[in-house]
Amino acid sequence: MLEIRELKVGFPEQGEILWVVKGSTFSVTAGEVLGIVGESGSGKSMTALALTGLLPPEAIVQGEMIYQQKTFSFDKREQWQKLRGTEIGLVFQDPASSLNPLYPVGRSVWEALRYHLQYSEEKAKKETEKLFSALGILPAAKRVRQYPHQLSGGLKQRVMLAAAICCRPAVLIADEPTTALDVTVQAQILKLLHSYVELQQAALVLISHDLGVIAQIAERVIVMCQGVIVEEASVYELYQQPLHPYTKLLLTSLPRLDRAILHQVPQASGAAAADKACVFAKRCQHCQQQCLTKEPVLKTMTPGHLVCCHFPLL
Amino acid sequence: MNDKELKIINVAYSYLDDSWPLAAVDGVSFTLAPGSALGLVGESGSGKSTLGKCIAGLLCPQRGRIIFRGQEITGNTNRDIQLVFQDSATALNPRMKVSALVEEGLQIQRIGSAKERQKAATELLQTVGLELSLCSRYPYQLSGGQRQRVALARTLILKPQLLILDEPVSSLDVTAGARLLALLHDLKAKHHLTYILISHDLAVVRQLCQRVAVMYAGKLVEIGEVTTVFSQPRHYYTKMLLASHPVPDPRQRKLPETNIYSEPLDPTLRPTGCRFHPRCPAADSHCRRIPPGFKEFAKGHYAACHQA
Repeated sequence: MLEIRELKVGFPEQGEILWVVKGSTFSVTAGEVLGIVGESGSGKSMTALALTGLLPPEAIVQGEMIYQQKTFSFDKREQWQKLRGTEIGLVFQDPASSLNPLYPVGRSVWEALRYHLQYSEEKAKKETEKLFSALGILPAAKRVRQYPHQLSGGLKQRVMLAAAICCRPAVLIADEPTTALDVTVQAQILKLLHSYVELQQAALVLISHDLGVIAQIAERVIVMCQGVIVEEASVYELYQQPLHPYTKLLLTSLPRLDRAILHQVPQASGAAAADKACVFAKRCQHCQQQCLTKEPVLKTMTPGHLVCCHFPLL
Repeated sequence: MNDKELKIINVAYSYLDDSWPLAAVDGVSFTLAPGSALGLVGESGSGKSTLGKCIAGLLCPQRGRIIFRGQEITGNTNRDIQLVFQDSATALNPRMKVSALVEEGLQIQRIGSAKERQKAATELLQTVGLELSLCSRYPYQLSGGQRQRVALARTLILKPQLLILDEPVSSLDVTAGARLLALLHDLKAKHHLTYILISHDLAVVRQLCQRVAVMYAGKLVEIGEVTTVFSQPRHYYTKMLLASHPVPDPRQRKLPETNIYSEPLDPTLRPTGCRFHPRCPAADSHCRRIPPGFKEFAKGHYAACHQA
């Protein structure tokens, strides 16, 4: 349903281009939840911004997106104006700074309805109230007129979700939607996202650094490291048999409720890799000569399980 | 011999909100043995950070006493008790270099000569796993993990006995967080430190602490050994926290059971009876009227719940 080909995002720096996303190719189908994980600086958020055409103006974007048999080129940003909101919705990371503090929270929803679907003001406000009730922003009639500072973090994120889904987009991009929230609220937001996907048969791209969240909701997962997709697999395979040492590192570093992990945390720290090297080489415990001189490519190991490593863990 | 490092007796602290007192911490008591580690968990607004600041002496509780090694220290700072602040990006002075930040404590306490202070700072930077080349950097030039280590070195330089860590890893990547937790674990063993670890993440508490205290709306609701509390939670709030924790295993999905309509507490409201009753699935008329007292379920495992 949505296919991304060779997406590259870079920023000009001292006469050169610093690539933060180095050629990502992936797809997501209707009704599917695709998780993207990685540390900060891995290019996850830049991927999300590229998919919604919201990259800063100085960014250099290459590659194309195929959506409903139509091809969109990433460097032609004006095309995204038509897609954003109606076809592709975005839920931002930080609800506190994403809502306009001077507007009632309902306005971010009814404005979208009026702009995209040409609703009358009255109809748009009525629809906003309905959506607020459905998302548990209660009592809805009162909440639509309140300002962001009067709402808790969880309610603010529900408003953001309402604004993102009010035009029923077929693709929803959620960038760390629960990072700023308490665990109890996090579970609720994930459930709302999940029910939207099921009800609308929408595609959800969920970007998170939290492997717990990804395990709870995603069906397929892409692991990114310094702008490169290093592994792609179904969520079950990825958690049971990670093939890339970086994926394994992420999984073993995650504090768990059921066991202590501290004895197995590797102490190696990161450094920028050389041009022609694997991006993870400097931190990898299994690094060999070939890893420093030749860049690995993403290859299929078993159907649906791809890895970008010279020596995958088997 | 004093077998209690720290005694917290009925501590209460209220903020003034529109001239109405807002009870952030409302009568909390517990004790801490030397060399132990206690996790303090709860949602935002439960009062865990405020309690940490009371113990560090940065806030003076309006009620209750804090006794450290047999001495009353309520409302006073103490060199042996240090607090590592929640957000190292804003807690470090942006105009001071790493070396100055680490030395500052010694300077204020007028300990040692300039040379000795510098030596102590370099040693400590190595202890927390930072390269000496970072000495002349400013906080904005450091990664989140490095900043967190500077904040830690800054407090360790005064050789404290009790360290209060407020959300030490919540702003870090999972890999940097795990390395910092391993460092905290080693430091504790090496310097015989006592920890109070404030965190909203139960899994982080599981890694470092033997005991855990659960707070809700300013009250302590459950306290006990981590392994017992996590395997047999007694209070419904603890059960809810544990059930909400996302398990990093796709075979254990549990989204459908979550009740999406129960909003976390509004910190300005303090319900009568058990404070958790508006969100509790087991609440009855008894819970709505009468505040529950603590019951002991196993040795050292207490919970304040009528229905437990």
